[in-house]
Amino acid sequence: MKFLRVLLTLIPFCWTIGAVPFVNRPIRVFGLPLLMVWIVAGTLVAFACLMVLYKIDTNRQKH
Amino acid sequence: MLDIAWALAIIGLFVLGSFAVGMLPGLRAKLSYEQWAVGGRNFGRWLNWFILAGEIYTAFTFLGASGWAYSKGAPVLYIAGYGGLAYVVGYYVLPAISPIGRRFGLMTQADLVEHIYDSRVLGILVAIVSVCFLLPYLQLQLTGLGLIIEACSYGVIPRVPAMIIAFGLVATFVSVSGLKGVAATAVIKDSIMIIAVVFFGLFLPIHYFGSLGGTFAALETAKPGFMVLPGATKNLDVSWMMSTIALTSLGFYMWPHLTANSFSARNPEVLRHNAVYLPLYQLCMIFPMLIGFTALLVLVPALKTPDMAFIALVRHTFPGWALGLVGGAGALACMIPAADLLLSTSMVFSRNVYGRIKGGDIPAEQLGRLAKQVVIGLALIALALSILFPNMLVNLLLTGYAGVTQFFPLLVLGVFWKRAHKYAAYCGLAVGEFIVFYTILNHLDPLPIWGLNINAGFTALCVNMVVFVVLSLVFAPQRSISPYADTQLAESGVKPVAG
Repeated sequence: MKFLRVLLTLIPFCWTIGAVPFVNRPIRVFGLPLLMVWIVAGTLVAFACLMVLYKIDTNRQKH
Repeated sequence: MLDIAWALAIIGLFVLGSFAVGMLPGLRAKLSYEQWAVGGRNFGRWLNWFILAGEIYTAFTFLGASGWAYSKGAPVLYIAGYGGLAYVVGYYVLPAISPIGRRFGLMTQADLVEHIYDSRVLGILVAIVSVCFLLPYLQLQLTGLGLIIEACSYGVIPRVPAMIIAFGLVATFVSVSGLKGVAATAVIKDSIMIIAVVFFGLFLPIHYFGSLGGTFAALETAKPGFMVLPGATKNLDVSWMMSTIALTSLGFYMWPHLTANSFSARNPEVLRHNAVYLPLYQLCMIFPMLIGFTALLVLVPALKTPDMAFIALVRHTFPGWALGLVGGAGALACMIPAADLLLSTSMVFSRNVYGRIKGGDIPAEQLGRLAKQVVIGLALIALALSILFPNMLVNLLLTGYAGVTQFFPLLVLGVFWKRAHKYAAYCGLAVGEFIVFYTILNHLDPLPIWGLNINAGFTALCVNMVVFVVLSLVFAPQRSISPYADTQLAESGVKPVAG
């Protein structure tokens, strides 16, 4: 469980910071610049990771 | 003429309406010091959401994000990137500090530092550094407000009277209602703000180019490479982007007023819950940028001040009511964060600088009265600086974000790491702030190292962190950390609660 928590904490940072060198390209997806789509998606990734962390912590508190 | 009337009426309605709402909590009941300063530590999910979220959308976002999009291109995206990460940090930090605040009656960030390290002098030092960064940030809101109202009223209300009126209202409702007033007005501000940015952010690109994709296709033809780092700049490249997002996401919750806001939560669960949903709010950051990109393609001739991109494009496209909506939303985006900054700065000044230097036990009522007077005093100082010497604090402002981030090691490790030591905190902070001021004031931001362009504040944070950790290990035998830390963390709910 500890490993999962660490992983969920690191994923948003790897996505939004670590991946920047790889997505900084003049490509457009759905007509939008790749970098912009990636950064916005990073916010959703953070949301998803926090959601799972929150569920884990809430369950742990109950038991 | 009708345009002007509409614009003025809408701006006036928003500003005066918020003022009335801000006055209510203080007029309905006499507030104790704790209720005034940290909302009686009784804010549930909604109110806590609005004071935490409300501090994100400030004058800087409103004007700055569209301005950077207009003038720099891809580098602006850092503003959309750091928020989600900042909440991951906040998910751990805020629920840990809030119970410490409740248990020991802490109200400011400097209180917390003083408590963790059991050091009055360190608390005073942190308080003085905080005020140095908060005051220019407050002044920035004020300057932004003047610009927005002048532009959106078609110049009918000039900058100086607009600043005096708006700040008079802000200082009044803050001294009457405190954090409860800030929270109540933040609800209005955020609702109007979201409506305004989403509406204009989607309407304007689609109006001019048929779709969002069409806007970016046109942008690529007109300005090839604009949407790839470093955009229209020379050195805001990939390494700058990465280090800047790292700096701003770690530094976000180091702003002193956000510590006070976290003390207002009813329980740590509120803070954890809100940390999960706040990233969604961050998505709204993208809309001012879309407006900035559209403005770049549409507005001829080019703007002298890129920060006016948002307002200029709306004025170019719409009649007066729309400008009124932007002006009203923009004015609130300055006034409400300014209210929170005013409250926090006055608390830090009255409690941690004045109170702790004087020493001894000062009764809560007396501190409360003093804080309210300091609110008025600070508002007057900020006004005088904005009107008479608008550029005096510009250096402090440039260093603001990088500067407050230097609190990260001493605050976060102070809470989570038992070996954190006060001498390490002094040295780390001193080294960090020195590098921040030296590099930024010598125009070395971003700092060119090994062919990379690293954010100067991030460089300072790394050095600060190393100094802090090494010195803490050296001084480790004399553990100065508060022995309560374990129980506090357990109480925060990260570990199972007994019973």
